[in-house]
Amino acid sequence: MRGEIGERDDIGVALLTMGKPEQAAEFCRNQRLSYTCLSDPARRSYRAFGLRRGSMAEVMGPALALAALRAAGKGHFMGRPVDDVYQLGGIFLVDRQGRIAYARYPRHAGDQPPAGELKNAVLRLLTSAAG
Amino acid sequence: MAEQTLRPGDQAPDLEVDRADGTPLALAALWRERPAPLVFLRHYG
Repeated sequence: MRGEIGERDDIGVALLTMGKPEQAAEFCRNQRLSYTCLSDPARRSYRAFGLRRGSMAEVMGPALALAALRAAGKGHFMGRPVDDVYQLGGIFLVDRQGRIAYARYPRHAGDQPPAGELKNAVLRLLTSAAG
Repeated sequence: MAEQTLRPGDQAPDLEVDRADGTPLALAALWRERPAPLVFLRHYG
């Protein structure tokens, strides 16, 4: 995420997690993240944004293993899922009017957006807002 | 029941979650001042 959009003042990145507040705090502290770190153990926000629970193949299958290997090759390592191992993540960009400007639903647990996709969405939104 | 997916142009759901210090936060507060990328994680790290 940091590599994708860095740390900009004109957007407010928020990380939502399924852990308890103290777990979210520890994670953001350990990762030295300046983003807003949030906690939603009941996963209400996950459901509200349409993020589904994956099948066993989607959260533990070969596609995830391959994605983990690719990530490891770049020096990134996938952490252990917290709480519900079947819950899939997702990425959204919301404009100041509360409208979705970008939505990314992964096909499986290791499915990441193409490099630059979110950054481009952010730049498009900022450009259109300025215009 | 399958969750309904959101598309560009849809209104983002506003509900309350907890900050890392345990205090409540309405999601809408995140995007009121500036656009907000929301990243839903499934794991730490």
